[in-house]
Order: sequence, then C-alpha cells, then structure tokens
Amino acid sequence: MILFKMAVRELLTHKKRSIVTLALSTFSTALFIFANALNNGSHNQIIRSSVEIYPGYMQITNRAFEDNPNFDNLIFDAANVTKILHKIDEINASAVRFEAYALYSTDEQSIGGMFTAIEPENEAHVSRLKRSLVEGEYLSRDDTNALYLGVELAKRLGVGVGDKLSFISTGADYSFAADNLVVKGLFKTKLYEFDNTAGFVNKGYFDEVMQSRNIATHIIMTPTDVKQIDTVTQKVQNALEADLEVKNYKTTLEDLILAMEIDTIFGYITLGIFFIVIFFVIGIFAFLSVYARIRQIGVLRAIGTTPKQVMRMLLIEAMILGCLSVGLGGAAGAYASHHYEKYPIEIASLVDVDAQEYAKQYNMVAEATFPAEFNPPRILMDMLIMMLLNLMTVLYPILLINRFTPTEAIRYV
Amino acid sequence: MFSHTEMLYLKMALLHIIRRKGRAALISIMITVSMIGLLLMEGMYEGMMVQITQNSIKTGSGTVSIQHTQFRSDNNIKYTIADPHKITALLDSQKEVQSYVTRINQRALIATAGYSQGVNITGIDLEQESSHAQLENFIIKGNYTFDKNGRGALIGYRLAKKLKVDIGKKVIVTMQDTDNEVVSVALKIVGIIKTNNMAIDKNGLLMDIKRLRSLNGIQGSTEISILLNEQNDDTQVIHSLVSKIKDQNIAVYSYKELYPSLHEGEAMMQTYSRISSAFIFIVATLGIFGVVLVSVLERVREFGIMMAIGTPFRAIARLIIYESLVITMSGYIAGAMIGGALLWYFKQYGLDLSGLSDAFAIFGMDSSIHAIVKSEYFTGSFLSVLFATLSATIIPIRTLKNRNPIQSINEQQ
Repeated sequence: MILFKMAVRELLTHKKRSIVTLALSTFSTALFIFANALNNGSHNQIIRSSVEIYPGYMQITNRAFEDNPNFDNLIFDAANVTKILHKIDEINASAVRFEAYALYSTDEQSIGGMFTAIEPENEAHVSRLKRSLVEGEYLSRDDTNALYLGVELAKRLGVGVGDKLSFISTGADYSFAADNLVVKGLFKTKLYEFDNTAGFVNKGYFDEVMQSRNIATHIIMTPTDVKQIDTVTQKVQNALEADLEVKNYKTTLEDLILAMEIDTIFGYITLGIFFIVIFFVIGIFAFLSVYARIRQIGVLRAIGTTPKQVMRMLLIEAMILGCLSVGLGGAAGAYASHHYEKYPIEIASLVDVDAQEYAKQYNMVAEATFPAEFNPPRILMDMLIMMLLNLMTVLYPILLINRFTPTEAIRYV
Repeated sequence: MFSHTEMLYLKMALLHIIRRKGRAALISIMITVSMIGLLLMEGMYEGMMVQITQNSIKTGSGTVSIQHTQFRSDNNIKYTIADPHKITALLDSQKEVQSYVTRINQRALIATAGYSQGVNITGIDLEQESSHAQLENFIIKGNYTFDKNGRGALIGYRLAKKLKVDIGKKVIVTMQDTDNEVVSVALKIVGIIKTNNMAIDKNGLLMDIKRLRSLNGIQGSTEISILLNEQNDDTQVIHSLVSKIKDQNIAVYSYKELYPSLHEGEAMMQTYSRISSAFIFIVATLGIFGVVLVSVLERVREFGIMMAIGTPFRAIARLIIYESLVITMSGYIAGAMIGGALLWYFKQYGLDLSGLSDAFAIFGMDSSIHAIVKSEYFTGSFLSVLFATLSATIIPIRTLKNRNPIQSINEQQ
C-alpha cells in the first residue's frame, strides 16, 4: 500500500510529464484499436460484397468440374441435391445455376459473355443480383427469352431495356444453341468486370434451349450463421454423394482473402513504425522520470528499501499510467469503432479518388464507404497488447536504476 | 569553417552529451529507427506503385496511347485508326518516344472442348513487341512465337488455368468482322504469359496481327501504344502529337486518363507518406523536447553562472541548440546510412515474396518488390529532423530566458 501511495504521489508531483506520457499512450491505444477496427471492417466489407454479389458463401459442384470444367462434369440430379439441402437446418437458402458462355450479337456488335441460368426467386436469397437492378425488371420464374444484363455489357452491345439481341452457345448436349432474347432488365453490382460480362436468363427457359433439365454447374448456398461456415461445409459434404464437392468462399475466393491479409500486414507495418516512435518517446519520458529521482532512490535504498521494492514502486507507477491510458484509449477506440460501424466513413471525404475507377483497376467491388468493425473481444486483446507494450517500455530504465549501489545513486550528478 | 568560440561551444555540447549518454542515445536511436522505418516505407511503397503503373502501361496502353475518339467508350472495331503509318512516321521523329507498337484489340469468345468465355484478343507483331514491352520476358511456359503460319497464340496464365489449356492445346476464337459477320479460327497455344497486368493475365489472348486482320478485315489498327523515355513528358508529347496529327477522329491519351486509378493511387500514396512522416516527426519532437527541457532545467545553475560572468544569452541558446542538433543529426546520419543501404539492397535485389505472388497479382504487383531510392527522401527527412530539433528547443530556451542569472544560481536542484 505504501509503495502504491508513493507511486501516486510521484505521478502527481510531476504532473506535466505524467500527462504527456498518459496522452501519448492513450492516443496510441485509441489509434491501434481504431486502425484495427477500420482495417477489419473494410476488409470484411470487401469480402462480404465480393461473396454476396454473385459467387455465394458456399457452392456445390461436380468434383471433377474444377479440373475439367466441361459438360461431362455437372450436377446431374440437381433436384435431389436441393431436396437434401432443404433438410439441413444450417442452410438458409440455396439456388441452382447453370453457367455457360455465349456470343451475344446485335446488328452492330458481337461480344462474348457469361450466359447463366438462374432460378430467379431462389437466386434473390443467395446473391445481390435482384438488388442490383438499375433499369427495367428482374427475372421471374415464368420468363422465357428474357435477359437480365450487366450495364457495362449492355453499353458495349448498345442495347437497353426492351431491345432485342441474339445469342449462340453450346448446349449441355454439346449441340449448338441459339435464340433471340429481349433485354428485360439491367443490373449494376459495382464489380466492373462482372457487369461487363454477365447475362442471366430464367432456368426454365434455359433448360429448353440448352437441354439442361435438372442439370446444374453450381448449387449456391447461404448458411444461417456465416461464422460456422466451415462446420456447415463439412456437414453438407457428408450429406452428399462422393462425386459432388462442397466449397466455401474461403476456398473459392482464396486470392481475395490472401490479398486482404497482405493489406493487413502492410497496415501493421505502417502502424508498427508509428508505435516504435511513440513508445520510444514514452520510454524517454520514463527514463527521464526514473533518472531524475536517482538520488531519491539512492536514499530509499540506503534506509533499507530492497531493489525489488524499488522495482515494484516504479512498476506500480508504470501500471497506473498504463491502466489509465489503456482504459481511456480503449474507451475512445471502442467508441470510434462503434460509431463508424454504424456510420461508415465516406471515402470521398478522405481522399479525392474516384472509388469506381479505383475498384475497377483491381477488379473489386466499388464501395464508397469505409466501415469499422466493433468487436469487443478484439478490442480487449488490443488493450492487453498496449498494456504489455507500456510495461515493456519502462522496464529498461527500471532495470538500469537497480544497477546503482545506494552510495553511487546518492552521489549521482 | 567554425570560429574558435563556435568550436568551444561545440566541445561543451559534446561533453554534456557524453555526461548524459543514456538519454542522448535514446533520442539518437529513436531518430535512427524512425528514419529507417520512414525511408523503407517511402521507398518500398513508391516502388510498389511504380511497379503497378509500369505493369499496366508497359504491356497495356503505354505511357501515351493513340486511338479512335470513339473506341474508348465503344470498343467497336469500326472505330479504328485507318492509316497508322502516317502517325508512326510522326513518332519516328519525336525524340521523347522510346518505342511504339500498333495493335488490334477486340472482344471475342474463346472456347475449348467443354468450356467457353469472353476474351480480349490482341493482335500484335512479335518483333515490335519485343523491342517495346520485352514481352518475351513474361513467358512462363512455352515459346514466344506464333508458329510458322501465324496460328499460334499466347494466353494469359489465369485464363489458361481457367480454360484448363496448356501448350499445344487448341482453342476456338469467335469474333465479329467489319461486315458484322461472325468468324472463327482455331489457334494453338504456344506460350503462357504472366505480365501482372490483369487485363492480359485473366482475360487476354495474343495472336498474330496479320492473322487477326485476315479474320476481322481491319486494315488499320485500334491502338498505337507508345512508351516514352521519361514518363513525365506525356503531357508535352500529347500536345505535340495532337498539333501534328490534326485529325478529329484520332485521340491521344495519357496513361493517367486511361488508368486514372493508378495516378490517384500514386497521389494517395504520397499523401499517406507525408501524413505519416509529419505524424512521426511531431511525436519525435515531443521526445526531443522532453530531453532538452530536462537537460536545460538540470543545468540552470550552470547557465546562471555563465550568464553572471558575461556569457551572452545568445551563446547559451546556441549551446543548447548545438547539443540537440548533435544528438538528432547523429541519429539522422545513422538512420540515413542504414535506411539508405537497405533501400539500395531492395532496389538491386528486391524483396522476394513469391509465396504471395497470386495475391500480389490482384494488385498488379510482381512478387518481388523493388524499392525506389530518391534524394528527396533524405532531404525531406533532413529538413524534418532539423525542424523538429529546432522546434523542440524553443520552449526550453524561453524558459531559461525568463529566469534571471542570480535566481538561477540560487536555484536548488
């Protein structure tokens, strides 16, 4: 108790120094927490958008499809697979797709692009295709030759809602398939590459033209709890035949997830440089504080205080400052994380960058906002790290001071 | 260079630094570490941006690109440069031009036995491209050739992976010709290419320009891609070409217009660097200030005696400034040497991150990052350290000035 009182008195005696140390440490704690929250929030947003726009959280394909993406390696009884999925509680929604490519032609242009069959109602629950509608109407289950087209592809083809075009493709039986289509609606997902190549039709119509009844290239699923996705993936895999393979976004979008991890590493490197400087400054102040009292400590040692007690006293000082600063910084960082999770930062307000153009370059979804992620366990972990750093910073001067004998310390000039 | 008096002050400054080695070392090390961190951050990040830009422009548009005015918004092959030779004759006499190539770019459909998708076809002349973008250096498998009769093709590595094609495999390419007829050709894959330009790696097929002309009927070209000796001469070259070409159907673009995100990315990186540097040096100033203030306050009596015996206050202020400068500049020199050496090493040999090459490719980066070394990194840091040091001494010197010599001599330590 007496050591605690001495520590508090020492901190109050040199208020300015204590306040500067407290301010630096509070600021760096808040910065660390908020930077992590922003980093995780924006990455999660990019991944979520990339997954939800079209690829989906989980997918089923024929096991051989990845190595040989041809029409011999398909899901040949899609209805049966769908029935199995409906019995799994952890699957919230599923939708069947048949992906093919076609040459779209107008009078003026011929352009190759995706020609994909979807179940319009089910698709609305596994992707953002319906929500991305910008003009015209979304597909319905009764549609025949209606086409739902990406805006960029429509621009290149020179077509709008209501316009006619034709397509030619290869059917599931390897025969040629061709027909005329009418543009029913246009979508814009903000993923430039996708909007520039994708076109969708109702599966009912597709099956007639492409001879693909009850056949699919993919079945897309959304789990009830995304955090349990690995467990759910395994459960679905166990429920299906061996010739079918279940993957989740961590595999199908592996490169994107890796890219986000690299971005995080670079973020930590930059933060690391900041913190090295900040903690050097905190260390300098601790050093000055300890050395300014070297005679005082010498007197204490001379009257019988042990080196351990001296160390404990100095550590208590560091812990008081550390706890206060980490507590304040943690609260500030947590508040900022919570606030910016609810009200994400607008990119345009930070930098003069065209988000669409920037995202187009890297084939990412053009998001106009930076959300933070409010994650209390993560925030507590960050606070613990900062507390440890605070203590490590003051360790060196404390260890150094105990090297002096009482006489040397008293005589120190 | 220095007068006898100046040398005396410098000696006094050095003696005091030696007396208080610990704190001087802390400041010096802080400056050294910050310098190394900042230099590496600036050099590596700028190196990354330059790499991304170079990967895009070298194998893509070039520093300057000449196209039909309508081609950029509508990739229709009717919008071509009818007589490229007229323009290339002008380029031959333009001293800023390092090299140029004529290309034909067209969207098409590529198909294998069981799979098809959209593709960007680029008709090129292998010899021209070799002296322009050194395209042969990007071949990762196969050969840099189109075979004897021009029926070979080079394919982007990601596209090859998706189509499951390898050297010797055939692909069918279907496109529209100038009469709006659909034409197709079988091409043999002779080489797989990795440029880190996603437009080529993910969606690109390169074929013989003469073979492509015979298919689509284009006599001219869709693009003349120009590399300049100095990237920053683009504006000047564009003005010169526009005035010489005098054709309202021809547009001359800088890479900054074709890839605005690259330019914005460079600007963002510079802003980010400046903010980081400013922040680090503000914090460093605080550290220097702490040490200088303590150093001044513990020698108040000493300074009081010096003033009492006739030393002008100016000289004492100079002494304090010299002390601070010796400490910080020694840190700067050490930091500049180590940081500069590391930057030079990474410039020559690069930072090899080949394990992350697929993820880096998303950003258009090579897996080996080469740093940039610029004199402005060092001059900027020097000025920052100088400014930080001088700023940190203002308050301690003022504090000393406000005391009178007799008061200072009587001051209790």
